[in-house]
Amino acid sequence: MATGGTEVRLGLWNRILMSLFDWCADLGEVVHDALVALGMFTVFTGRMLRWLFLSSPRLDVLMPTLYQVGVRSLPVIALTGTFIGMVLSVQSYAQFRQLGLETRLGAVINLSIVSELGPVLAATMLAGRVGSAMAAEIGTMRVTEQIDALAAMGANPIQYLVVPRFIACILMIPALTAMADFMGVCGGFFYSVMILGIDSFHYLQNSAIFVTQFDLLSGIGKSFFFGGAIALVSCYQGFHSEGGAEGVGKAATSSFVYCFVTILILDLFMGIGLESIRSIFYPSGQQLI
Amino acid sequence: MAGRDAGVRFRWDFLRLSFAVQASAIHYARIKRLAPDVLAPDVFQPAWLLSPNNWVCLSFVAGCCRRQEHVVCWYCENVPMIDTRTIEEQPLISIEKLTMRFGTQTVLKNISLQIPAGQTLVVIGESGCGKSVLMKSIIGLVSPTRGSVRFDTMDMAKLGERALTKVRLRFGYVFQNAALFDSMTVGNNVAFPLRQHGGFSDSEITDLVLEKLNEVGLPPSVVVKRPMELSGGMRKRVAVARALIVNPEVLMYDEPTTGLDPVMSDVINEMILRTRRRIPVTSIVVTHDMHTARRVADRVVMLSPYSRLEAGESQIIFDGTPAELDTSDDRRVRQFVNGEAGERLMELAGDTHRDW
Repeated sequence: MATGGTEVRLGLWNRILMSLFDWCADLGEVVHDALVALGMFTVFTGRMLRWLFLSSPRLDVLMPTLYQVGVRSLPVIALTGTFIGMVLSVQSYAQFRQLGLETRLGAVINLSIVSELGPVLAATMLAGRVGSAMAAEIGTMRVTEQIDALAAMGANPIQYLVVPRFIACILMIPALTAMADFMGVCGGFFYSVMILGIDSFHYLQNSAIFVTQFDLLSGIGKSFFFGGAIALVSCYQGFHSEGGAEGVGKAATSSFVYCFVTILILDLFMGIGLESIRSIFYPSGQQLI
Repeated sequence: MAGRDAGVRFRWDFLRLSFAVQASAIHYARIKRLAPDVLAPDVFQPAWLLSPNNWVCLSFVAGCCRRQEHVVCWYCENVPMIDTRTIEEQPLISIEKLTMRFGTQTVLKNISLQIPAGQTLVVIGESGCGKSVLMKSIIGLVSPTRGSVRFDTMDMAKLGERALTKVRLRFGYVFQNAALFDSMTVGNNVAFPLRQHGGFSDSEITDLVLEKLNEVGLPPSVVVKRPMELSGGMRKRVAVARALIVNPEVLMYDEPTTGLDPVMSDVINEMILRTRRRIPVTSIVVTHDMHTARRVADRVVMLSPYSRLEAGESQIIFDGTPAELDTSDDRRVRQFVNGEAGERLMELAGDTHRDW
């Protein structure tokens, strides 16, 4: 008996039943929270799209955002692209050599880079660099009442903060992806030809045969969606951060995690969709061997 | 004799006409929401004289003047007369049974408050009683759970996003921690509302920014500085300059003197008073500082935290002039005014005992 009030001793079945109820309630809470978050994100996206078409952002706001997202990300994207190409070359060479197909390496590396690894890894890198920075900046503005100040001065925070970032991401991330693709192709060529000694003519010849314009454009096309997702998820996380410095840190971290998950999910569904479209343009397909 | 009568009549008509022009200017000012003295040079501008709306306005007021002589006038018979005395007495901000709840926590319950134009209202109360939430609900930054906030007869909760954005341009809000934009210089911070408004050239914006910074006692050299390079008092003054730059109808100060030394607090108080003397602005000041309350207030309202109220008790426990604060019968008001913890100290002791 505990000190003070009366304690009701429950039987074993009652306790099991109570635990089951608790488990059910916990599950319901998780589902409820997820649905609420999804609903809020949908409303947030809708409001952003509404402002996107209602009014164009001010150039003095848009240009620095374009610079931040595009130009400042260039070195890290170039570096990422180069290393993707080189690592692919290292990993594929041993296996292709066993089959005596070293010269086909160009096709494998470049196809992987332009259609899949370039867009996905560039977007992941940008989710970390640009997305987290956006979430942290907007989150800090939220906790220091700067977003309220914007609204109080007759500026709509969605129009002023989210729309320019969304435009910057959907314009700049495809451009950066193209840069990552180019640097990846260069990195792969450099390692394969200069270090592994593969014949450059056959390397380039195979690349030209197997990598189609469709592959290149589908990769760049994906990056538009990745860019939009990074901007929306990061701005949403920043907008809904609360609780001071801890909240801002949480917003930046969760922004990266959700961006990464969103990129992978989008990549899967767009991959399925693009394969269907490819089968229309290239019904016979390309045979690597 | 007839000539003398004609002369008198002419002078009388001239006087009446000039009165009508002045009354019309005031009426026009009300429509445009400008202070009459700001407008005065505007009246004789060709653009003003050419505007048909102003002639309708002029003849309307002239008709109203004639009505006092019992002469039938079409405008007076057909257009509802605007009684200037009634306008001044009508509340600019009307809060009706406002309830604010965040999750399970009730912050404000059934608050009703009328704030007439031109009044300086000071809202006092202990931390967490909902003063800042009340301010934010007035400007529509938070939506009421129940009840309504009307500004100039508009229900703020029912306004669309664009309309709300437009209405907010009639407010100036000085936030507790100044809320200056870190990414901008002081000059760009102060110029922000003007750029948002549009219609100003760069040179006009620069002139206005320097003028407003001068009004709050800051030198032109601060224009290029970042907010982080300024002291707390300077940041507050920049925030006031930013709020003033659009000549707002309502100025809201959230704890304007919190965290400042007594001298700087007095500078801010003086600034609030000077602003009010210069432009006919309605001010709402949220503060803990009784010196500020006594110095700037026309009217003081004290809120009590909802959790501490007796059943059925109003959350507004005091509504009167600063002088009436000292004679209040309410123990909580006296304790707050005199800075005495009273039985709250016992609560603290109890809490401490339980914790340890």
